[in-house]
Amino acid sequence: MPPLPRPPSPSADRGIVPGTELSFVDSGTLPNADDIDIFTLSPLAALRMLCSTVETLVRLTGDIPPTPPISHPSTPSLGLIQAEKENVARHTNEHTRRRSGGAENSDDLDGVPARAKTPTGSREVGPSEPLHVVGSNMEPLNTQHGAITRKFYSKKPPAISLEEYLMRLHCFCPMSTAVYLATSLYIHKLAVVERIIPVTSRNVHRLVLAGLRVAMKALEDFSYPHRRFAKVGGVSETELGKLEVSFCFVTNFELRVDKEGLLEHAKCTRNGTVLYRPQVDFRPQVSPSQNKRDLVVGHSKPRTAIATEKPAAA
Amino acid sequence: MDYCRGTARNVNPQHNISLPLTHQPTHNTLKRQITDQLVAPSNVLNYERPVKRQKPEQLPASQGMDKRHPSSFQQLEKLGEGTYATVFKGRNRQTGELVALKEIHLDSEEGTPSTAIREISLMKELKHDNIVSLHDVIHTENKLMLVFEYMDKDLKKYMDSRGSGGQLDYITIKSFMHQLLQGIAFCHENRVLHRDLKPQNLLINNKGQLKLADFGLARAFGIPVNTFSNEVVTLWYRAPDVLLGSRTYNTSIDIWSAGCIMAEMYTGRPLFPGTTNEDQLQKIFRIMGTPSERSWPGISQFPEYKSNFHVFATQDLRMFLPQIDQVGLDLISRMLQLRPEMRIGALEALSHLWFRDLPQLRQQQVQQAQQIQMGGQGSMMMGGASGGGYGVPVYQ
Repeated sequence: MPPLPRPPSPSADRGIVPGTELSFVDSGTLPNADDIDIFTLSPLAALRMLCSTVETLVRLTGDIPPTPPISHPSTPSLGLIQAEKENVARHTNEHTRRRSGGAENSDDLDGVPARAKTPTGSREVGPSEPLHVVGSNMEPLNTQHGAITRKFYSKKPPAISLEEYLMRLHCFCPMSTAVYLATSLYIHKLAVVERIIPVTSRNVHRLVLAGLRVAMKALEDFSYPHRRFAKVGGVSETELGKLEVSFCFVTNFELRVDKEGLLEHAKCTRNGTVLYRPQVDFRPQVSPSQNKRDLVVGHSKPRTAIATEKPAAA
Repeated sequence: MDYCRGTARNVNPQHNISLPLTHQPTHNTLKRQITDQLVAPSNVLNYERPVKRQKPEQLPASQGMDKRHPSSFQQLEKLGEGTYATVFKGRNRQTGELVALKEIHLDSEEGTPSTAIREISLMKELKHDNIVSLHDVIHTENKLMLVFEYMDKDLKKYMDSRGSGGQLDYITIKSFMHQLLQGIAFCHENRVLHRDLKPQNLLINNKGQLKLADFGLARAFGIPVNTFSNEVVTLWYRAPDVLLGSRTYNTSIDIWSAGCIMAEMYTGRPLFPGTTNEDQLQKIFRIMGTPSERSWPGISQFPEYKSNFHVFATQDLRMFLPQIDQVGLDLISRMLQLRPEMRIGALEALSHLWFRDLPQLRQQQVQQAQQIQMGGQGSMMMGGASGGGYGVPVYQ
């Protein structure tokens, strides 16, 4: 009797590496909410939905409670977004000062109001309503979440916009419709349903990076090598490892998705995406042939998506 | 009280666990060049570090798995070593409850293993009597520790310990098959494929319960993903459609494994002990007959199909399972169908005639046990409470 064969290793299957070619035929067209079929929805369209969901969350997270009027976003305008961003920054500074002064009973988490005790699903919390703050009389049962969520923050918003960042990830590590939609769903759940972490311009990049990484590991049989994903994401391998495990814990490992959940989320997101005007073209900037030549010949000239990522002077 | 003396130690081991590295697409030079061309990582996000705070934030509790200090478990002897994890027996310091501690090393090379992410996220949701329950996940500096309910042994060891060449008795086979199919049915209802069912991954406790374990290869199905691996299920239990190169397999691959396990419980030996992919297919065809376009329309489209497969005639399974009854033979034949679409589903299998007398058989068994007990023999516990290192200590 021969010994029991070694256990299988799904990632060792050489035939499952997803092709970058996919991104070149994908126009990213969004169907109407009622016509969405997640099995025909292109990865690029799903990526656009992810981008719009998360951008909307960033816009809405300011000095108002992070309630989820995703289906009725205000008309986006650059000026408004900028004003909100400044608002967040100002608020953050005030908050930091107050905190360093020893305020115990903080109602803020990293510059945005902490979770209000409004029932889950409530979409109508006006700014004038008082927030029920989790204060010092509560047992600090979950101080860990704070410690975990802090890992996603940077001191100031990264210079690369979220669209450009996602585009970069999609160019070099193309992922599937399910992975993009699942990431959107995870972040939406964290920010809106569970209100564990507010999505701001300071943590959004790391959140999507970790979300995509974890979604791909959870849902696909193939995931990109750690080194490559870290490089494309612009973080060190060690940091990617930490973000990944933090994301797992902050979502409480609730990573399983089914088609109904993804479809419902896609439909709900689609309404917000209508009003959302992407500021960068989601399609790759180079033609397939040009791109191929670049890659094969090994041009040292960075591609458009990377060229925009130069850090602003700190 | 001293049952663990000598083996007990505090949880802080430094084990070297080899991790399966995520496959590098080395054959794909295009991809490698993409990676090589990327600019240094510092350019995008790295120029600013995450903010450090002095005071911990206070947020309302969410239910479930908080990180807790691992010292609340006492680590006992090693139970086994897998490809990506080491399993120890453990004991909850507060309750005294026995647990299995699965230690997963977090590799800085590949981050958290996807097997761990899968296993935790799926087992957290799959709460069923016939699926090992995951109590907790503890994260320390460089490892994850999964806390599972304690089970006495796996089905393979259980069979070996029965002393009759690994063969099990009729009632036990029926009871285990019923529990196995209940566990599988629950997974499939929740749209999860196990993808590595084998006796080593079925755990048995001394109450005669069987539970599915090791969900590292399991995955959700029915969602628009890009990659579905063909490298699934341990060779001996791998369905012919997977062996033929299918990437569109479904729940029926778990049923094939269950059929193989049923045969193994009857004979004590694996039904198809192949050594390579080709050998495995041949061992299957030798008994089940070589399929053709006529018996399996579309078979020639499979990537690994060869027109020159050695042609074997279909044999009677009874020749290999002499102890099996007619109704049981019907059930196993329905599970071991070459064509995936012809295989019986888990729910359908559960309502198979063969299981109809299971309640009566179980009752008889209980009555027999009571009679033995009244006769003044044996202990209170079934299955031998003091047996080996796996015995469950009796707390007064």
